[in-house]
Amino acid sequence: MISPQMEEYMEAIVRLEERGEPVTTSALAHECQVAAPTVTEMLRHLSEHGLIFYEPRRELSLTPAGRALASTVLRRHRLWERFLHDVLGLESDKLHDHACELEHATSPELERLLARALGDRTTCPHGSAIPPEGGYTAPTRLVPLTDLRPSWTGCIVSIHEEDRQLLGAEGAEAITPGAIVRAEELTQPGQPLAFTVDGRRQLLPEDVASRITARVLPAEEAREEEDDAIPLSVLGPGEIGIIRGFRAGRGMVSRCLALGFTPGTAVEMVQNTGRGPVIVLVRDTRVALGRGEAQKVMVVRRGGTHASAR
Amino acid sequence: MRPRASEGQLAPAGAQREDAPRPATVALVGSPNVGKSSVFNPLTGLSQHVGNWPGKTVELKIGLWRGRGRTMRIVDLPGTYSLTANSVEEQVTRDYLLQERPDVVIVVVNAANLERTLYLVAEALELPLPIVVGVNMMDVAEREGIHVEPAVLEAALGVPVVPMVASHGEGLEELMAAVEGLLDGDYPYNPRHPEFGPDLEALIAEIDRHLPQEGLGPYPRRWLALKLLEGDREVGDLLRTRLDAARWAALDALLRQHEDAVLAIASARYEWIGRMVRAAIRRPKAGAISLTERLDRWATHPYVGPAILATLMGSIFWLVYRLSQPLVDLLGGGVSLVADLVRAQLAGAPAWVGGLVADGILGGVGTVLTLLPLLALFFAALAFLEDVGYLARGAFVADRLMHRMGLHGKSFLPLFLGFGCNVPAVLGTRILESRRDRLLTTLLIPLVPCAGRMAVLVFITGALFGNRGPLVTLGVLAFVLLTVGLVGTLLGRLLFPGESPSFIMELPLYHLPNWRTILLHTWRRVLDFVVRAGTVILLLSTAIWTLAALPGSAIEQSYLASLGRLLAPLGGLIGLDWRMMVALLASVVAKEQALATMAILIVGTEGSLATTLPQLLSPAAGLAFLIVQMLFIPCVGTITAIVQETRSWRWAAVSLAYQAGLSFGLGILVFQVARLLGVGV
Repeated sequence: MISPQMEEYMEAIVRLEERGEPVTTSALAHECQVAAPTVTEMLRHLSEHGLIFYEPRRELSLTPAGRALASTVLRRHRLWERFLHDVLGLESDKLHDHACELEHATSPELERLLARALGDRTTCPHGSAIPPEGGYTAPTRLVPLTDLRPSWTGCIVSIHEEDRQLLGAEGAEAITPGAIVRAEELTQPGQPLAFTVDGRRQLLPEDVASRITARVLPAEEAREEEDDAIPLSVLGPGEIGIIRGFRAGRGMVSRCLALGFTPGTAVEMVQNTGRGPVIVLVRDTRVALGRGEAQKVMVVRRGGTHASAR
Repeated sequence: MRPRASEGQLAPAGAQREDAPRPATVALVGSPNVGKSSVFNPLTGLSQHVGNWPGKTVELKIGLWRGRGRTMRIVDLPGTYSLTANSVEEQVTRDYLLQERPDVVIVVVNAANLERTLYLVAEALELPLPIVVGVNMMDVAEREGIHVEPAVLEAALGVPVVPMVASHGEGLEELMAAVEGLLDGDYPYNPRHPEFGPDLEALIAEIDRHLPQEGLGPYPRRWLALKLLEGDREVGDLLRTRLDAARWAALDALLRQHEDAVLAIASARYEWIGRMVRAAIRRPKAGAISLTERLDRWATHPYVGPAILATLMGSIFWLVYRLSQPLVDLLGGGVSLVADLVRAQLAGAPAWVGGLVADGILGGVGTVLTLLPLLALFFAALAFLEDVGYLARGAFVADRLMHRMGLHGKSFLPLFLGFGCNVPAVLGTRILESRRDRLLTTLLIPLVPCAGRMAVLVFITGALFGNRGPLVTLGVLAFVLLTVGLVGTLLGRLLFPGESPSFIMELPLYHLPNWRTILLHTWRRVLDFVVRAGTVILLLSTAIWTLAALPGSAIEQSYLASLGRLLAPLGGLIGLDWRMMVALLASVVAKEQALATMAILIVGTEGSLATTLPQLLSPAAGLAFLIVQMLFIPCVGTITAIVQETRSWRWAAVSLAYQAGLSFGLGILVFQVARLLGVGV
């Protein structure tokens, strides 16, 4: 079951994302005002519930199910702030704490009634956007252009004035905030990077590209995540996942296929202690997989994701 | 792709004469854990011998079957899950099948795991070879609540299907009768093939149009097209050489466009298998908790599992040494008795002749002989653990620790064996599936302190450090184990960059041990060791004896001593004189030999080694000597074992070079740091 505490963390993660800050353990510890080890423990817990992709020392990201949960919590929080402020006249500095309490006790029905009572307000009293109903906000992930993966599309958010000068007249005109940018295939190290900006090919020196930020457009990112697929490693003992695909090299895929891990096959998690290798049951065979390997097999939970089961 | 294996390498020696009709060749294939060796062993008995596929370090076991006035050559190919070239085993199996074209292929499947083990049958059916399917372990399946009907399977596959309990000899007669039926054309052979559906078939046809018309050797076109779509690197390389650049680019682009075809092909095969299996299997006891499930609750438990592993390994250790010690003593006593006799017989000849025969050659024989009981027992223990199905569980439990060193969980067992003796440990790396894991583990094992080195360590720390001896012993051991961990991590990155150990391992069903298989396996491995390693050990130890005994009669004037004096400047960096360097060199014969050599060189007429040693070695130099000694180049037996397992002197040379460098490097470091700090000088 998802506890209020877990919901708080999920909310904190989207808040960081919204502000364009990196989602790291220390940032989360600061945001939730707890110690870093507590955060690490909770992140592992969230990862086990299929809400986040998490590896130690890496920036974490939300699974589609996690994103749906987090933005629902954030929506309820901001709806309550609006309600407490507009209807009850509570002072601004007390809004957050009260909303934090109320958001976890809000049913979908209450959420709908609140929204209806507030009319078409789209922002909270502090001016932040209230996520739309249905639980999916456009992720506003800000990345330097150098991190834009090939096939991702981004929208340029900012560029330094000095860098614009470096690009020359034609480049400066193309590379402006709002331009739609797509990363081309990787070039040789040391060579300028290739991008398609508003449909035209542009070459940018690596250091300049690293100082330009872009917002990753959600559709592209979502396509990468392959709908609701989660890594096999987050399934708990007794849970069953249906194999969707692999995020692995040819050799491992081939090995998995021969052992019966074909798309559409049900895999039951037999043993998963949260660290070290796992044991699964596939086609009547018990197979041990290293944690790294289990993270590369993508499955869909049978019986729906947590978000739809809630 | 590779040269045809010459008959000389694969045919049993002297089995054929010009005028005799060529015996039919039957290849035995199957996934791991289907009990293939329990089929091969009773069919061929002691007639089996080992052949090599050219250029690969994989063994093919070959044996003769005689029955009903007929002789057949049976070739046991390595266990594989598929025929895509992911590992050396898979390459060898499919190259053998396609290049040697055996007359019949027996595919062994596991009745308790029918669906998954039939995958290899689905692949084999795409080869132009007649197939017999042996459904083994019918008894295990019944116990797990699975009832298989072979007749249904036979009707669905269109090839002979024989139910078997090979461990009890059941079904072997029928299996060979089915093979004969195919050879004589008595069986209405009408194999069905997996259906891939119109989309995939159209794609296969398109790939086929890109293939050259000629020059494809023994490879069927359809099979090549399938393997290309499955992303088989070896087949890709073959076609790159057969096509001009433009046509290869076109084919390559097509393959890239259909990268997902590999998923569709495997799914189609499994779907086809699934339909057959649903028809051929009944599960009267569905839902019952199986024996395997109950045992695994403990064997793979996060806390109980490691305890079970430790207890098992501990008992095996105890049992092996307990059982082998009397035999080792007996054999050692026998050898020295013979040596005395020889010395007496050769009393008239020059002294060196007697020494060479009695000490050099017979000493080498002694080394080999005293290793045998140990090896036999360790092999038997490993084979037992593998046969009952525990080995995979042990690997699972140890994987977390091993993974950190960049090794596979299974590496734990050979590494652990190393604490007893490095020789069986190196030979035991054969349980590892990938070449990377085998080589890495092989290179690490000689760093594991064996019983011989432990004896030297305990003696010297006792002599030099008195009361604090045990503490220093533990410290040195911790240092050595830390080094093993660090070297493991580094070697993996250095030798196999980009490759990480992939841990995907089947946990087979537990079953009762098949003693016949275990004994035959042990016998074959021991024999193999005597034949291959025995002579090399004999030669090497004779050579080292010669160095120590010539030209004079005393070791102080020998070539070995000169070598030690030559190395004295190096020894100076660690505070060791030439005598300690000679002791180090002598430890290459056998690690405990270091003590005996020291005793000869250092101890005069008065006192013992324990009392003289502190006068010669400062604590810092003693510590440095111990570090070097623990990590120094492997002994003759281990070197030979490395050569035998890797089938090349190259890796033995790598082992020698890196360990020489590592041991002296760390020794110098320890001594110089101690000197700078002014400790124990």
